[in-house]
Amino acid sequence: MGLICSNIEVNYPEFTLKLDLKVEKGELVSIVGPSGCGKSTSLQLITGLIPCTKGSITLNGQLINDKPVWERNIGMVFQDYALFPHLNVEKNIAYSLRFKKLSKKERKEKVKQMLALVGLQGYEKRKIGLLSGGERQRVALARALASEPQLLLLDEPLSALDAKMRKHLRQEIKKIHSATGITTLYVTHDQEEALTISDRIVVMEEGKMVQFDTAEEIYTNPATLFAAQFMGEGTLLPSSMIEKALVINENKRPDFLAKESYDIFFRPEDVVLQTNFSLPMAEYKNHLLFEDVKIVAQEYQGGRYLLRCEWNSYPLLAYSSSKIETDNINLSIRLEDIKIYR
Amino acid sequence: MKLRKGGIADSGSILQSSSFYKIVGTPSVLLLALLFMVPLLFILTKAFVGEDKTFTLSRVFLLAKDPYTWRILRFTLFQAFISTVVSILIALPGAYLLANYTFLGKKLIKAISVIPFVLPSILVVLGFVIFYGNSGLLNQLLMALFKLEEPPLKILYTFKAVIAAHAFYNFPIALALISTFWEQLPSRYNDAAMTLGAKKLTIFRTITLPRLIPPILSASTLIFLFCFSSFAILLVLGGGPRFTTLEVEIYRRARMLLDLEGAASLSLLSIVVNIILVGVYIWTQRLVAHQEEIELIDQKRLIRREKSVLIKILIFIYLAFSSLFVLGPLGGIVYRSFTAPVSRGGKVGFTLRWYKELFGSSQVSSSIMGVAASALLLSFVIAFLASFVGLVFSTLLSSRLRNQKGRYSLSLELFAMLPMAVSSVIIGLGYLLISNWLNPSHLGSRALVVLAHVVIISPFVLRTVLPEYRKISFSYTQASLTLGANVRQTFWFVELPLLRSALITAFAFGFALSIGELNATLTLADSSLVTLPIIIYRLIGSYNFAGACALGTILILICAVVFFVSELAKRGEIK
Repeated sequence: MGLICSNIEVNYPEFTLKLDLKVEKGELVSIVGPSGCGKSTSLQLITGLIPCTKGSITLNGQLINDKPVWERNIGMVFQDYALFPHLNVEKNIAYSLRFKKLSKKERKEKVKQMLALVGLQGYEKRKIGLLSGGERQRVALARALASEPQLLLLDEPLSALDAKMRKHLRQEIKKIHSATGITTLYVTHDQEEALTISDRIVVMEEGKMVQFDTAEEIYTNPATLFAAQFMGEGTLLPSSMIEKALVINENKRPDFLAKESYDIFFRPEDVVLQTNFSLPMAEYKNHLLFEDVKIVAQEYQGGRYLLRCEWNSYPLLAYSSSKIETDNINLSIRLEDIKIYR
Repeated sequence: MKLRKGGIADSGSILQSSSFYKIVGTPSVLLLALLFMVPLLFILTKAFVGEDKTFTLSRVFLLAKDPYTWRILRFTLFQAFISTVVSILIALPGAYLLANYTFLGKKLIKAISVIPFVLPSILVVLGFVIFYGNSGLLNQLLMALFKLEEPPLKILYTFKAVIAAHAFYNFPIALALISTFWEQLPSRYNDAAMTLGAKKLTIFRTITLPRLIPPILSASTLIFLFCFSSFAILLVLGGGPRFTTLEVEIYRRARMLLDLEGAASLSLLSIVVNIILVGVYIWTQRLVAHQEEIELIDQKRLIRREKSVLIKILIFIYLAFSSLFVLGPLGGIVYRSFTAPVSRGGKVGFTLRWYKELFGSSQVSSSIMGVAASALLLSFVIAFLASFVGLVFSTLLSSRLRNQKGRYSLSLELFAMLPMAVSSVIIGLGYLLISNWLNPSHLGSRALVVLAHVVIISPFVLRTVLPEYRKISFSYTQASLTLGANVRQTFWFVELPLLRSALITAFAFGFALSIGELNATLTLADSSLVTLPIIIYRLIGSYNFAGACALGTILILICAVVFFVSELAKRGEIK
């Protein structure tokens, strides 16, 4: 049950879109990636707005490849909401119901129910043009949910809103998702949004699914360097620089050190700081020690500082809870916190 | 690398492969093609097929060898050129004022300049006769003012009258095009030039003028095109073989000399010139579009700008001139329709006599005025049918063109605009040839008039609908589809309602064009078919100016209503 996309392939001049995805019933899955990576196209394939010629799409056990868009019963929220300007809020929400042959009374009842769900009671007669961005977003959600679809697709639903509204509404979406239990695919280019909202995340790059896992797993164990860099900040160093910083405290050298030419990546929160050079680095596991690193900039992020440093002309990132008063600093990272990418 | 946003309209979209748009779009293309190509084919046949039913070039050669042909072509081009220059010269000061200043009466100038767009040519002719004629209102006024014995203005039935009428008809086009463009020119270049030490006049010469050339060229080509195929104005105001143009000559040969072969051969010449002009026009449009980024006009910038005394005088003169120039003839028509001489001394008083005669409540024997009521009805029916059919064709065609990208779509669009490259007299001639061949019934001959009107108005209707259709975001259509509406339902419940005001405007525009159509109707119809413009034309011809004015007033009223309705629709006040 749920949504299964298997072996879907669509060729574009720029890249080939490949989709192989199984979303459990009731799950909220995000698709993240830079703009133009094919995430919106994936949604359009699933809705049927773009024909799927290779592979199959199964929704709750039913093959829907050959069904036209309007028979698939998939709700979609568009980036620009696409609320019909010639209809008021009520008629927008009830739009799908008229094709379901619901009576007028049933439609009114459903609209009321939907408006209550998105917290816009009493908005029935409002004109679309007079709604705020956040209100439009809610109406679009209500409209998509009114026909009780088997699947909800959200295409960058918050990108047109300001930061505060975005944070508020993503919690709302999460709440509505829990309340309705509807299988949901959420497309966004904002990794923070994806991390906070999703049960699982798909990372996409140039039409390919790079990783499909839980938020925590993707952040801590990114499958590729692209996924690692896309999901958060970090330091990237070539293997050739390792020997300059390597400190072996344990008996065994890790195996990867024997390999040739690879990249290492680590997150700033794993980096340990040493400001007092007279004391030894309090690290007893195998680690890299970057000595006398130059602090280039300190960005206050609210509660902590992101240190942008430079070591042998490579940039290093680290977090500090307080502002560093010296120009130079020692940094260390445990080998077990390092990710290796070829 | 990037996929375009809303890339749904690109290759592989279901909208592009949807059979609905193909099913509704293709027949309208084919029917429009048929309505346009068949009459052209008849013309070609007449021009190239001889008595023995074989291909011949002899008629075309005969025509090419005739110095008369070339004299007419030369004159046609010459009068169009002079008319264009005069129209542009009249428009330029107005464009300068509209683009650079805010002043009392600015709206009036803008409103005035819209009038000629919706004014049938026969009304322009009538207005000119009434206002500028030897015993016209302007002469009467001048004679009374300066106690003159003789009318000071004697321009009617001269070359001057033709040019003046063309300028009246076309200067608003130049005014609108140039002032809109001028208004949107970014002012920062001027500011930059000023900081570099350039004086006002230098700035105009070196910065503004060069950038105004594309819109001036574009407006000139359009006006030239219109004047080249102008018909009614030359037919009546030119008043004789001395001022014959290609269009008038085609009409004369077809309807007076009954030399259909000659008319058809001459049509070829006109079509060739027209196609070249349309090509040049499209080129100048690209120049305008590509020239530079435009900025939204900053009204505050205009308000703050100080007006010197010279500018104030210029504004006053231009206001007075354009009001008199445009409203004079129109007001003249209305005035004459309600007045009649009450004494031998030439004193006039208010009367409804002409209207009574028109609608048969006071019979006048042997006058065509009695048929006015039926002509009015016929004109209404023709205009309604033609604009309805044209609107349906254009809307369906637009629905197809919106979902289609690439070369195929462009060629389809150009094809649909083709009738613009053929003058209405020639379309009338084509339908006349069809009519001669079919020998249709009473009703059939009226149907042919409707079809000819459909061909003439469709490009204009399409030009109104298509851009608005393209403005509808694809996400509306997509949203409707995901909400369970199929393509047909989406067309009815989302796309058409969103187009509402464009459809009303387009219908009104088509209706106004059709109800004022004289050229094709006169060329095509037999004497039993009388429309509003045809009666007006005949009344002018028989010097019954008062009757013509009464009918003209009715036509003005119809156009005003149509214009009002479309303005309301544009402002979204019709729900």
